[in-house]
Amino acid sequence: MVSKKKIWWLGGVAPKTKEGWWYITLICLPLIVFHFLPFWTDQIRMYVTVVWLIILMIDMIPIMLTVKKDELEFKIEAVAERNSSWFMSLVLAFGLVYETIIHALKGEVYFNIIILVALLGGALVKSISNYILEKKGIKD
Amino acid sequence: MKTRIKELRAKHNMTQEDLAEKVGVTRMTIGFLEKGKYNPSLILAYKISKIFNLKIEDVFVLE
Repeated sequence: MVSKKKIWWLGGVAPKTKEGWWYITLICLPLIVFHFLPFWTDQIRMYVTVVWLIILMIDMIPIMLTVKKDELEFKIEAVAERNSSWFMSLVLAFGLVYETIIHALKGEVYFNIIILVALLGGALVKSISNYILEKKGIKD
Repeated sequence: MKTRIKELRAKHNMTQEDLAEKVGVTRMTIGFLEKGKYNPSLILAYKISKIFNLKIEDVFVLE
């Protein structure tokens, strides 16, 4: 998927194969054509763009999961994801406390279940991951 | 950790890309190794040393 040749405008990232270029063309072209046509309202344009992005993201998931990384890329990704998850956890925790305080000031007892489940679930996944990885080790 | 990768590459007339392909990593990883910004795994160190027909300690020097 990634070209060997350094292309300055993409920071070295570009499709390596003809199929890759075809994929990008076929997935981008309909949206570009759609936006150029004058028949749609802004709301329809927005909905179509959101649906297009969702389809693209769903299609990207297997690529992200199967793309091969070398050991340095693997470590960089792990550190970046750790930083990202710490940031998200802090924002979620702040949101949970903020909402709870706002409701408490009104004399209500309220916890945002979704945020709570996200935080507790995250902590649980981390603990399970630690346990499994410490038992199994990491080969690659 | 210091490495002699750059010197050995030049000696073997090899680009970073060539070496990267031979050992199955990206050019970025070879660049980081040469600059001493990344300590490789034992497997990678072994693979690189093998390409140059040297022992690991002849390619990588612990400072």
